[in-house]
Amino acid sequence: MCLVSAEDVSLSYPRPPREGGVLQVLQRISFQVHEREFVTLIGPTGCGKTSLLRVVAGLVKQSSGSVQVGGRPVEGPSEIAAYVFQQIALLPWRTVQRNVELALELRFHRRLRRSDHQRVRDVLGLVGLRGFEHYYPYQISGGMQQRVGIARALVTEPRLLLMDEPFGALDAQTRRILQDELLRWRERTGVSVLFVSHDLDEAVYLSDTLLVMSAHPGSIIDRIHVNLPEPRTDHDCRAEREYGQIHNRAWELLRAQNVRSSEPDKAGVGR
Amino acid sequence: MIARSSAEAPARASSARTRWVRWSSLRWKVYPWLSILLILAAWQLLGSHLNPIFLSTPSKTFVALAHQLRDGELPSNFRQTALTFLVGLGAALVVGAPLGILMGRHRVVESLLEIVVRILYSVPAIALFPLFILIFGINDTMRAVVVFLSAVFPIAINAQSGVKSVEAALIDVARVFGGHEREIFMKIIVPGTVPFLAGGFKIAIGRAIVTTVAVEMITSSTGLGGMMAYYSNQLLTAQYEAPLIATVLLSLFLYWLGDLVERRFSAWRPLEPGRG
Repeated sequence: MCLVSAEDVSLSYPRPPREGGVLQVLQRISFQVHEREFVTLIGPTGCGKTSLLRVVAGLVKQSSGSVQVGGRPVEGPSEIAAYVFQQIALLPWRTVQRNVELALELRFHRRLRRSDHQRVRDVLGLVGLRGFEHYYPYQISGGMQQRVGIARALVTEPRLLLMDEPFGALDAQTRRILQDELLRWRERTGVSVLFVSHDLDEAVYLSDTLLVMSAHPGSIIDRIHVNLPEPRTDHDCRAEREYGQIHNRAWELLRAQNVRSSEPDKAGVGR
Repeated sequence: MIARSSAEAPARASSARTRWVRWSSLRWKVYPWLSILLILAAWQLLGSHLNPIFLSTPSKTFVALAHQLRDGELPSNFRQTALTFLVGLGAALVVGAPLGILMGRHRVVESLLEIVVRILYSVPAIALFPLFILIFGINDTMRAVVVFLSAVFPIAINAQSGVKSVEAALIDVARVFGGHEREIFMKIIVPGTVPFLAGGFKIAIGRAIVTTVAVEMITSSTGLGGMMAYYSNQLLTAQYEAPLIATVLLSLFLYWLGDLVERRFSAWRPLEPGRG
C-alpha cells in the first residue's frame, strides 16, 4: 500500500515586488513511498527537497497537484506521520523526557496518563537515552540531542517518519553511528521513512529508493532502487560492487548539475 | 622526623587547596560588599570635606536613619512609598506582559500599537502629572497611575521582542505534532518569552522607583519622596539622605526578587555561559 503518494506537485512563491513574477520551487513532482520503504530525496542545496518534505508534512500547501498520506489528502499535519528536524528544535526549557512528552501532549490535547509515561520511557530506552531523562538539551551533545529529536517522533508511533537532514549538523563519526542506529530502530518499529539528504554516501547506505533531484526548479530527474544485502548494519556494505555503481550513477547526475549551475551565464538564474 | 614532615606536607598543601576552593566560590559573595565599603568610604571622605548643605556623611546619615526608624516616621512613609511602587509596578506587569505578547504575535495589533508604545515609552510619565492631577486629584491612585505608566512600556517592549525571538522551528515542531494555536501559545511562545520578560521587569523596577519618589516629591509631603522634599527644603542633608537609603534598599530588594524569579524560570539556560 502507498503511504505517500504525490502527483504533479508544484510549489511556487511570488517573488519580491521589485523583481516580479513567481519563484518556481517545485515543478510537477510525482513519487510514492510504500509501506516499510526507505526513500531518500537527494539533490544539491536549494533544489527544494526540504520544501517537498514540508509539503508532505502538511506544513506548507502545494500550489498545484495532489499529495496523499495514508490514503488521505494532506490538509495539515497527519496523525500517522512524525517529523525530525535538521535544527533538532528541542525546547531548551524542557528536559529530555519532557521534550519527548511534548509530542504526546500535542497529539492528544490532554494531560499525560500513566500509559503515556510508560511509552515515553520505552522510547527513551530504545534510542539509548536511559539515564538522561532529566538533562536539559544544552547539557548533552549534538548526537544525543538528535536522539531526543528522533525519540520525540517515534513516541507518537508513526507509520511514516519524515526526516529533514537529521544528521546534517553532526560530526562524521556520530553521523555513522546514528545511521546504523536508525536502520535498527526502523527494523524494530517497521516505520517507513522519507528522508532528505545532500550526503550521497548516507543516502545510498540507508535507502531502498533514491530520488535524485535537480534545482531551479526542483524536479525529480532519476529514481534508483538500491538492492544491497540486508541487514546492512551487519557488514560494510559500502564495499559492495552495487553500492559503488549506484553511488557513481547518482554522483554523475549531481555533478552534471553542479557543472551546469556554475557556468557564468546561468549562475544567477535561480536566485 | 623526616617521615613525619613529608607526611605533613601534602596535608598542609591540601588544606591550602580547600581554603582556595572555598574562597574561589565565596569571593563572588564578597566582591559586592567590597564595592559597597569603597563607596561608603568615598562618601565619608567627600562628605567630611564639603559644606554639609550639599552632602552629608554616611555616619551622620545612618544616625538620622536610626532616629527616623525609632520615631516611626520612616516606617510609615516607607509603607506609603512601597504601596505606590508595588501597585504601579504590579499593574504594569499584569498589563504590559500580555500587551507585549499580543503585539509580538499579531501583526495588526503590532502595527497599530507599536508606534504608540514607543512614543509613550519616551515620554517621562512624570512630565504628565498635571494632567493626572486634573483627572484623579492628588492622591494614591494618581501616583500609582504615574508609576504604572513609567513601568508598563519597557515590559511590553521586551515581551514583544521575546515573542519574536522564539525560534520558528519550535513553532513548526508544535504544528507538525498537531498542536492547536492555544497550545502553541501556552507551550512554546509563553515559556520562550519568560527570560525577556524578566529583563523588561528589571528595567521597569528602576524606572518605577525613580518615578515613585519623583511624583511624591512633587505632589505630597508623604512617602519617602515627601520626606526627602521636606528635609531638603530645610537643608537637613542627613535627614534627607536617610529616606534615600531606604529607597535604594526597596529597589534592591525588588531586583533580588526579579533575579530569583528569573532563575526559577530559566533553569534551562547554562549558568555563566563563557565566563571565567
